[in-house]
Amino acid sequence: MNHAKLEWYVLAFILLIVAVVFWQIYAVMTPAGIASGGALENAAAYPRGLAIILGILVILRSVAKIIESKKQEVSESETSISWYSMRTSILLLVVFTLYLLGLGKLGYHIMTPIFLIIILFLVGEKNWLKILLFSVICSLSIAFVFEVLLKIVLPGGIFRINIPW
Amino acid sequence: MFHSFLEGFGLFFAPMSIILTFLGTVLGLILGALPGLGPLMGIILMLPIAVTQPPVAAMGFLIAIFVAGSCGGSISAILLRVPGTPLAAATLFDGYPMAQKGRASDAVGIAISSSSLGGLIGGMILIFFSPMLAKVAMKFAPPEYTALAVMGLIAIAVLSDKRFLDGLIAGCFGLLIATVGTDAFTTGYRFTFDNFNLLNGFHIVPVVVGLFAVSEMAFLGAKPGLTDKLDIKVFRASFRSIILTLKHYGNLIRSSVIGALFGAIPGAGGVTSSFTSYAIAKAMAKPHERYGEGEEGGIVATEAANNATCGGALVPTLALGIPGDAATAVLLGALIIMGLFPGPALFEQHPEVVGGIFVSYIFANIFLLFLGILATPLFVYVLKVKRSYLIPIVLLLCAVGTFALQSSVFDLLAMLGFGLVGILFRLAKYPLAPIVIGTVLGPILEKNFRRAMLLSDDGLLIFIKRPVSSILVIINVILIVGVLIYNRRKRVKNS
Repeated sequence: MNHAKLEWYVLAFILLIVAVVFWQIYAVMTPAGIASGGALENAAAYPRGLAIILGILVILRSVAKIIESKKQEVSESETSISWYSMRTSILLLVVFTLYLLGLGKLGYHIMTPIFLIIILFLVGEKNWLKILLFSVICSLSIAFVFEVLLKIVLPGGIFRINIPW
Repeated sequence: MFHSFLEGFGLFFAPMSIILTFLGTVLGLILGALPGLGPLMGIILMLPIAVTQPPVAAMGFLIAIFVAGSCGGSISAILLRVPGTPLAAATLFDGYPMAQKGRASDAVGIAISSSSLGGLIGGMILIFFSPMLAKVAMKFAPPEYTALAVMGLIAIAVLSDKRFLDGLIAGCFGLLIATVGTDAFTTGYRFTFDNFNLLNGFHIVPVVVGLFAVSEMAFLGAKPGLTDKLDIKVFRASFRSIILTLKHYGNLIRSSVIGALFGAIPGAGGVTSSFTSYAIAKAMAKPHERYGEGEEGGIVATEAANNATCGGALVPTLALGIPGDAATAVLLGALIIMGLFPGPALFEQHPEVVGGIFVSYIFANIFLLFLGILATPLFVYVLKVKRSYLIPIVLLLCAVGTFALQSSVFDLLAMLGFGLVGILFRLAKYPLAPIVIGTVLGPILEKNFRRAMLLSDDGLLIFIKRPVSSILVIINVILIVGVLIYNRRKRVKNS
């Protein structure tokens, strides 16, 4: 996958956002009576204006990209990003997503050491004793800072596990 | 000005403010030294912790990270030829050769001294100019603020990246993010999709943490050698380096002023200022000075400039509410989270907070000088930390910090979503800073734009009919036309 292709994805993503803005104005804000009138009553005018500007910018960028691509032939290997080089990153993101989803369910004190162990393993650490020690110490240290020093209650999950410091 | 400064002293000398400014300096130096992190990342990761504290203590903490982080990158630039942050990229030109000649401790000492002294000069510019600018801005009405906010965004798009359109697209995307939630004028819901978590819009923390920190860790994960441990000899810097730095006083003052000026221009930033200062110092070098081969003046120029930039960048941020770069946008966001709105009103209604911020900035630079030199072995030792241990710590701080703000699982998912957006934008080489600046400036821009429309009898013509706003509009048009002509000429030249 090369940067040029990825840039098309960004432009498509922005166009999707523009489409969502118009759909929301039409389907939600107009029936609610906040999409017409003067500056005080019209909550849709400003986002609509932004969406129009964004749409124009995306069109201009697309035209510029097409002209650029015709003028210069960029070799695929020069700008490409291989999925293979990103595999660790993709796995990190998958584990991070699972951690975020599990945080509310199983709680900080169960999820965090498991998350740290898996991440350390993924990034290439092999010494299990170090991995375990780091995970437990890091998890407890951050819990101490937030729960004791900052008085913030971390998620206890369905088991309601919170350390009575 | 003097009165607010005195009141600020009172607030700063609360134990928590001093402790947090000190801690911020230590953290900033550590985060700056570690390649891949840096002051912006430090401010972002510590933002959720900071906003639980009183405003001056919180801002002292974040500003100290900003100041020390801008200097910390020089340590790895000098020792490893790998700048800890892009800000230190120009420092390696002379820092690394100096270390190779066996003068690593002098090089690091000069970098710290120049950063601190440059930061102090930048601080004086901040203290002198921001109240003056705020006084001028006191006369501004909604049309002027609208034109000013637009100028901030355009300037960042023009200066922050090579591709102007991409910067504008990113900035407008940020402005759209800011429209999510309950409309302040009609109390109607916009883009909330019947989700009560979106009634107040996206909190700035999940947005910046996702865009910058999560995406950065994903990119760091793709790099080879994560478990490599560097073999670096730990050494101590000496206070003699302050004298070595002061020998280059002309260069120091000139580079600091350049740095502060660049900082005050939205989008210009520390990287541009340090390279410009280096180029000027090299052009004005005496015949015996060999820049690029380990010349002390090279380090003085770059480090004084990039730290003075911090002070300069805070001038428009505090006085006008227009951030100079992504880091100051996050600082501005921190003030807003704490219920303080930067701009002339802040100077009028909370002069003690403004004074406290000034004092914190000055003390952060003083702490940087002493702590940086005394604790050099610690910051050198930090470079030995394997990057494999950084990734889980940063990701954990992202999650816990974001959750801590509102105890909201939704914020965690929003952070992840913005992380994915950040990764896509970075892969496609789109700038992220305009998104954050757009998100922070969005509510200010919309509020003032709609108020201007309420004041106007002739619609958009109000921006041309008022003298100050018309000048700002003309500057905006010149910026856009100028950059389009420049890009066209460059394309013609290249082809």
